[in-house]
Amino acid sequence: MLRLARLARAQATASPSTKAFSTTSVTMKKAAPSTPARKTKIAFKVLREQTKTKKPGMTHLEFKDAVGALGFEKMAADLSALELNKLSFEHLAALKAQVTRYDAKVEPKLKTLGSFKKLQHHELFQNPVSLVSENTLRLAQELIAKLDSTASKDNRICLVGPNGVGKSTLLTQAKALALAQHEDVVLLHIDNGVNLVNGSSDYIFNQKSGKYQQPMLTKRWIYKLRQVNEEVFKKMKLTRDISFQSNRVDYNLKKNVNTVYELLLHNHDFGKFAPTSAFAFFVDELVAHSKNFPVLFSIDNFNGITDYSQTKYHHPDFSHIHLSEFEMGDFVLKVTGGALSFAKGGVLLAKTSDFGQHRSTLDVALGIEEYDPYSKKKFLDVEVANTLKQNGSIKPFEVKTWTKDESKELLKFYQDAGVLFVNDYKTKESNQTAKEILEEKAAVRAGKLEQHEFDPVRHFDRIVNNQYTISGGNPAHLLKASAFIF
Amino acid sequence: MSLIRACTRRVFAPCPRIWLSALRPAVFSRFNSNNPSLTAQVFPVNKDSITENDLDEWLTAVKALKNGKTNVETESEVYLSTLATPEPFLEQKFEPSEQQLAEVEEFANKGIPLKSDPIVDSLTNMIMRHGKKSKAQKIISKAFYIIYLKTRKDPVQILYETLDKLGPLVTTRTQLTGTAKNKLVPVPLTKKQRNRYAITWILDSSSKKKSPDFSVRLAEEIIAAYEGKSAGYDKKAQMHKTAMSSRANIQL
Repeated sequence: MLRLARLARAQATASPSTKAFSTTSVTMKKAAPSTPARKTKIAFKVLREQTKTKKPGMTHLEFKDAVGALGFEKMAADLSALELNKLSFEHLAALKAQVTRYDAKVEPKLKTLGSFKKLQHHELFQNPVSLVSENTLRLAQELIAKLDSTASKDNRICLVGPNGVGKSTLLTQAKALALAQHEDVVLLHIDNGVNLVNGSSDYIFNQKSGKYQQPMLTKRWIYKLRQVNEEVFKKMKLTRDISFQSNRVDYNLKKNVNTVYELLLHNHDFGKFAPTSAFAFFVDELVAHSKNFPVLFSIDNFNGITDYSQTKYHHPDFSHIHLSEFEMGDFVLKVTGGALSFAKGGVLLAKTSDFGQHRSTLDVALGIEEYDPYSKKKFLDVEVANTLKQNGSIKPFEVKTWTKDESKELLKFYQDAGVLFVNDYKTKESNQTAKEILEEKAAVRAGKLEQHEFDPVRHFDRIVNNQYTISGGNPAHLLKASAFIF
Repeated sequence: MSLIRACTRRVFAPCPRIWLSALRPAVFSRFNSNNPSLTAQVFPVNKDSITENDLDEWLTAVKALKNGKTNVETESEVYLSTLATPEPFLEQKFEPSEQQLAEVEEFANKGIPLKSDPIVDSLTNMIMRHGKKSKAQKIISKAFYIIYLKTRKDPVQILYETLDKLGPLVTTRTQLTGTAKNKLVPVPLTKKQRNRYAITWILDSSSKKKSPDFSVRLAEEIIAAYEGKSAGYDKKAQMHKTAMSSRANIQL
């Protein structure tokens, strides 16, 4: 190539008269037009706003969220004709295997605490309902009955069982029963334990206490607790003086004069992005009053906290912050481990099977699984397990699947409420040809073929048998088989 | 191989029972049937144990049959000779119980129920892509759940009514005349064809809804069509109009 180029250059210099072939843009350019082009006015182009065509439809949400968000419960039929019994502690034994409603006072409290979750099919009815099973009776005996007499460190239970067996519902029932049994019970409920550790909140280090604080998380939780326990907190007089400033107003709350409710109402330090001791003060008040006001501390999805003890939050050197280094996390570990005990009360935890089964911190703490010294720290946090094992360990409570009678009772309720359709089965009629239809009619006339008679009672029994077999007595599977029956 | 397996099963099965008889005599109550098997006849359960004589008799019978003995005499010989003709043992005969027979009689003159609803099935098949039927069924189940929640009526019944309202009655087909102008001939549609048109229009319109979940979009469109608001009604009217305009071409 080089040689060829040199040759071409030599030729060009040797004979200037001959034009060398070139493909440059100058030589290939068009000749300029003889008449000058008309001057065009330069103006700004008005950009038209590109309007997006709005798509029609009820919602932009997915099924899981849409079902909860669209307020379908308002369209549900009125169930007052069925005369459902209230869930009460006194007559609990008589309510066995019955579908019950929650008390009108209790229900909004449970809603505020986030007890009614997605995909529990609460949208089928105007108000949430639940069935009193053998598990409910057992839990009422083992935990709720002791709330008035036992310290919380000696009254710790963790609900365990397979996916969909009704652990969260049992937790809700326990709260309702606690409120029914004792007027002045304080409910401290965390509806999803993972929220403490999954990095969803802001956080700040408090040098005085040596712990990280999560202002938004704490603020929201305190707000819920204030709404739910309003009546009880109004009865609790402060045991210490406290002064603080909020909205440029100075507050000086006096002991034995002002109440815990006033503290929670006026003190905005819980959500302030600055080191504060408000939460510690609140906990101290609860402990001081627990002799007269029993405390039920409950956490749903508890293994979301323990099995992810190395949280998603980071130190300034980007190492993970441990659960115990958080103010809320430390509080949870102390209460569940029994280091911090309420004079009267109980701790009710529920495990979830949503997380990986290989994470075994909670199982080891409960004694369900043996301690494996070779296990990675990521999967087994021995410190957390040992903390939970203190003070006599947490008692595992195996939630059992429903019996056939209980399942039948629920399906009967569904049928009465108009949710379950007991229809006649389809025959081949729709696919028959004209000839086949004529033949069939002739056969019926001749008495060879009987007209099919539909027996709804017998058909309902068949549905019960079928669905009980499919679900194996697991309430979630039973609900799914009933709701998605088509 | 199956023959040998069947034979060995017949031959060796009784042996442990005999030995067990000394230990647990109560177990053998199940042998008290009217038609005892050949094994039970040759090796009766009341034998306490196998003696040397029994084994000698067995070996003698084996040797005799091996040497070509055809007329069988002793019990052991009878038993062993049956191994050569295993057909009755291999025959698998089902004998229904009385309860089963009564049930059959009860349903003898009645129509056979379908496993699932044929129209829901056709909707499932039209939604299905790449043979993933269970996925399509899940979509329909969820859609029906929303339809129920919204209307508080049987969703299958609503689908039936919607398809009946939305499905066109006639379509037009082009008939080649061989000349310059072809004819448009109105043709009535069958029930299945009407449903297919209606389902296609529902699926088309549902794709324009805003939810990212197909089940929600489908439910919204079925509810809209049930309330008479679907775009499919325009298509149906257009089809009927075309058919009406060419009604002169109907050939009776």
